[in-house]
Amino acid sequence: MADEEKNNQGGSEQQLEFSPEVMRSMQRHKEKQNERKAKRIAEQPPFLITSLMDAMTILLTFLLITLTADPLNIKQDSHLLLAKSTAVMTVEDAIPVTVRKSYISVDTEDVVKVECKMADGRICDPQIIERNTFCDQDPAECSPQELEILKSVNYYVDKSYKEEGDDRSLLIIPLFKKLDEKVRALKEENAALNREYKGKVNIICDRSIPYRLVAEIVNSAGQAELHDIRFAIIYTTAR
Amino acid sequence: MARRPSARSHGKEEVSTDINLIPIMGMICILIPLLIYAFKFYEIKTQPVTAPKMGLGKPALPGEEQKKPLNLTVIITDRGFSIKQEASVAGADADINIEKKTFKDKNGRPFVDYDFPALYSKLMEIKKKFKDETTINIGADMNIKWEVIARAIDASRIQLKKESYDDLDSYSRAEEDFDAEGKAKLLFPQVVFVVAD
Repeated sequence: MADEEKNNQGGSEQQLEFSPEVMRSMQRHKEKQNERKAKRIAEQPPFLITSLMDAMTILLTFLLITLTADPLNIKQDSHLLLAKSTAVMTVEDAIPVTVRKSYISVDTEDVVKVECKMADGRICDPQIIERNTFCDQDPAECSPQELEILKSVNYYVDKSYKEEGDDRSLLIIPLFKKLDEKVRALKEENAALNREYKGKVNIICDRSIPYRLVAEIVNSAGQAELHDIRFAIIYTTAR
Repeated sequence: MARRPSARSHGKEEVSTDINLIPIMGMICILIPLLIYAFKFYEIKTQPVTAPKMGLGKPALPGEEQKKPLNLTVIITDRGFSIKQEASVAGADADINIEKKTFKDKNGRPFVDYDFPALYSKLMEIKKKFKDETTINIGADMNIKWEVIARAIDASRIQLKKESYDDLDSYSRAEEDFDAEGKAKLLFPQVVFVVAD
């Protein structure tokens, strides 16, 4: 029985043994196969970027159009955070007045410095302004004591910039002068082009700015013959 | 000496006519992050306000009846809203006070806020009595933030589906009402800022 098994094993070993010619032929076949595979890999392009290029071009065009279509081009930060509203009036070309927590600017040029003071008379440092913006956005993240302190933060324009240095005045002289200059230039341009002067101004106002300062800016704009005042807001569906 | 056909076909070196897109691709890859950084993911709209006009109004023409204005004014204070109207036109309801109210947020936590639903409901009542009136004067205490004033203008600008709302949640989600032509029904769209002494 054991001899029989040995004979069987020996028989199977004999079946796997090939003659040297067959072995050489098999090796040649394998080499050819490898050569063909290497050739196929070499013929393939390394990386197809044409379709990726198309997608990138579409994205680039979309971003460029979106950026250039916005006449206000507002970039929000801790010094400028807009109020939210459901108003749907689109932004039109007008003189832009930006009211940040640090400066009032007309058409990117800083005109008046905005001061910041707390109830105890301390001047706000940049950290307080940043913290005020943070707590304004997410009050749950700030303690009630901190909220109470930040509630007293007041933004204002120094009386030296106002008419006759009177703190009660609603006319900010440098702002009025700058707007008046812009209005004159606009009127001349409209007269040359035979266009009607509409007296529009876009006010891009930070949401923490108090009514006193807003009223001063509106009054200064009104005095400079800008009666169609539009406040920039972030559109929201919830009131 | 004759060459084999296979050797002849491989004799010349092939010149690629494709444009090298890799430098352009590199430039685009730099431009896109820059533009995405400058891109804003919110929509900017505008809220119109009329600057108060100085001086006297136009004198009435002979024979023309001088109609008394309603002079509807909303004053925002730390305590809430105060609606004022010309007493001889509005009658007994000339002065209305709307105090701040305690609302509940999504998590059920109470918070105190201006009662914008009540302000809207009162303004709707006034609009029903004075349909032709379009002007509203808005004033505030000097320390009131612009965001509160913006919300008050929002409440007075347009008519909503219902005439009154009790809670902040249903008011904030309320849809605008439209007329037969599909235009939004206006409430008091002409906003004039006033400064109360």
